[in-house]
Amino acid sequence: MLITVIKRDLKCVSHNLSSSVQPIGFFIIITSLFPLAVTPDPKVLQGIAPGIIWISALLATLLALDTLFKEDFVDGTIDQMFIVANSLYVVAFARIISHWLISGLPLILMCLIIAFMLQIPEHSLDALIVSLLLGTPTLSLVGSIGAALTVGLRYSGVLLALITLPLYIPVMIFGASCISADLIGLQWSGQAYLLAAMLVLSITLAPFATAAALRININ
Amino acid sequence: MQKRNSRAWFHRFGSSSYFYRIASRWGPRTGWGALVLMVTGIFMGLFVAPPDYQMGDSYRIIYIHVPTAWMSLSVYVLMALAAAIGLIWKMKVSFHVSRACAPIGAAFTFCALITGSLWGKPTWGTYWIWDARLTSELVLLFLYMGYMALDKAIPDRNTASQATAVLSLVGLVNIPIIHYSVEWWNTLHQGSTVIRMDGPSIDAQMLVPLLITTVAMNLYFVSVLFSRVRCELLNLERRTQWVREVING
Amino acid sequence: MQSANGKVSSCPAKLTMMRNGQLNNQVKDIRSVDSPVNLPLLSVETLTCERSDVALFSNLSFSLQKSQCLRILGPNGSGKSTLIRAIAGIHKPVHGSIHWNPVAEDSHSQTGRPKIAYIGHATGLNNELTALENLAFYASIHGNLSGLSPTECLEKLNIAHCSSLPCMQLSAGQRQRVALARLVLNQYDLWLLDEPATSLDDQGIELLLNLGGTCLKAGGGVVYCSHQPLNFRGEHDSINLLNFKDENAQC
Repeated sequence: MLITVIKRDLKCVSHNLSSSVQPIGFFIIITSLFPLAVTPDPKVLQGIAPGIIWISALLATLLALDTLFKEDFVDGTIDQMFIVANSLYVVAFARIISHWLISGLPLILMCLIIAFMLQIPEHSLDALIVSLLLGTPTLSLVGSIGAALTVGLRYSGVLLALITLPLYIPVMIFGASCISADLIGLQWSGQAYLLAAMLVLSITLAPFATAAALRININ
Repeated sequence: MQKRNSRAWFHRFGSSSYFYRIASRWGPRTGWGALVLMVTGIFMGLFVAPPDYQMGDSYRIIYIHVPTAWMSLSVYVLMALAAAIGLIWKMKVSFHVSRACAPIGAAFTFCALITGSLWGKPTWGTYWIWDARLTSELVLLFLYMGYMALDKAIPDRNTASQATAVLSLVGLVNIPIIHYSVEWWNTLHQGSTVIRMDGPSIDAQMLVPLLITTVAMNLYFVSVLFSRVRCELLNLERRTQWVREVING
Repeated sequence: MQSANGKVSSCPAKLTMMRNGQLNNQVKDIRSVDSPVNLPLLSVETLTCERSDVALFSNLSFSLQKSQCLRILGPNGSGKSTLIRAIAGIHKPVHGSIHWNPVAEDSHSQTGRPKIAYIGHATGLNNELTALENLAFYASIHGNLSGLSPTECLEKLNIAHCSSLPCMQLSAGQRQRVALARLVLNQYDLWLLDEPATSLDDQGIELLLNLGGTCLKAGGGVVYCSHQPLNFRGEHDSINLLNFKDENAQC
């Protein structure tokens, strides 16, 4: 069932490619606004680049979250999947994985380009990639709880941000400081381990909370 | 036998009319108790306690700041626990308690933030500093706001109380993580002075008013909580027999 | 006329059955066949459902025999959809229980749940995917035991010509046909149909009735609510939710 749902989601994406790349476009635009608003000075940019990348990643993830369960909820697919499986855990997990494949993974690839634009040196790319690889799945997992809680509401975008962003703070702190530490020549493995710990914790708990929230909303 | 009795006690609390009776009996009493203790505590704090050798008289704001900051956290924990009880044992009263906690807790958080930044001006020379505890208090306020916004946004009461219950539990897991990740920066804030393994480092004359105002805050919270839950119960169960009996005297 | 056989909800576990068996001549007493060897397919006991803290119906009890069709009656807002969702397991009732005795032993899935086909107000079709892709998705999550391929299922509903169109381009009636094609993907123990004839034309309704007849003949059951009676070929009963309404509850 897990694989079936993921396959279906990817098929949906291939049918409607333009709406699926929107979060990535959003990510690129946001990151390129910072040099315009703050300064194009390479020194300053390099200092704030980790923060820019992580805040933009947060917002881009959030943008794709709104529709995470909403379509399936409105068209009744969630009901049908619940009747078959008698649990929404697998459904939630599958949707989270597809969300990461659609928004998180391309974002990491995009970051390679953004990194050069923000003057991040090549030797820091590994810290950047590792922090995003460990951090963005956590964003998808934690965000799915918010998406499931607001699935029954017609206009939920701002509310979703309001309840999800505070929960994102730890990931953002450690993700950004992972890159910053490497930029100033410090060890960044500590931050990476903490990100990994948060990922493990959220993989363990978040799908349960998401499934419970969906169950409450279809009742 | 013993076990059945304890269960019966537990389930009696789940009954709306029983809870209403308890709340209407204890709400005013705790309210008066809070008023008396608060006046005493503030009086002692302002006039009896000696000035601090470093901060002078400005430290006296702790008699409000510290209790509200403590309350802001413990109210959240109570809110999440009540929500968990509601989800596990399907007790509606428990959901009402949880929902009633949110605005009170948010108010405490807000007071803690305001008093904290007022205290910051003479101590640090600025109203706001991105210090770990102020920041996690701010995030706590965001969590409360998210909770209340979700509660208001969902029209169906049952769905709303269960959804907010899930959210408060998620928040409960997150609070320590948020707290320690924020703490992780170097903080300007002074270390904890009251709760220490080797006993409090604060002078007894300063400590006593603090403890009194803390008890007063707790009583005030219970009083406000009870009256909020009473309103909620009367509103939601207005069609039931016991509410008619209450209203008709 | 429904109020004439009114049983108030305070009488527990009593169901007022109305016969409108236009198509079946032999009138059987349901209770007489309720023996251990011939268990009912579905038995609902003292079911109470609420929506937004308002009781929709209370103490509803009935049982559905194999090869039996049950129509749920009641005015708008009386809880017809909620009852169907409660039987499907989506809605959690406040009180009461729902028991199952699947048609054949092998139809007991591993979780001990019966195989239910549910057609709700929402069609369960993804707008981006084509009709065929939608059906193939359900075939892979439900299992496909009827031996019919998704294309053949669409043919059964006479909608195969739309199979490669995205569902958002289909008309409401066409979409409903694609949704109904799910019913023949598998051999289901029970069909739960919530207004299945919505936006269907006469030919569509006729197809639905034929398929329902086949399901009933195979020992399955059909529970439906609909504004117009659907004459599935089989034993036919109905319950009126108005008889189980709590008088104290107000909308």
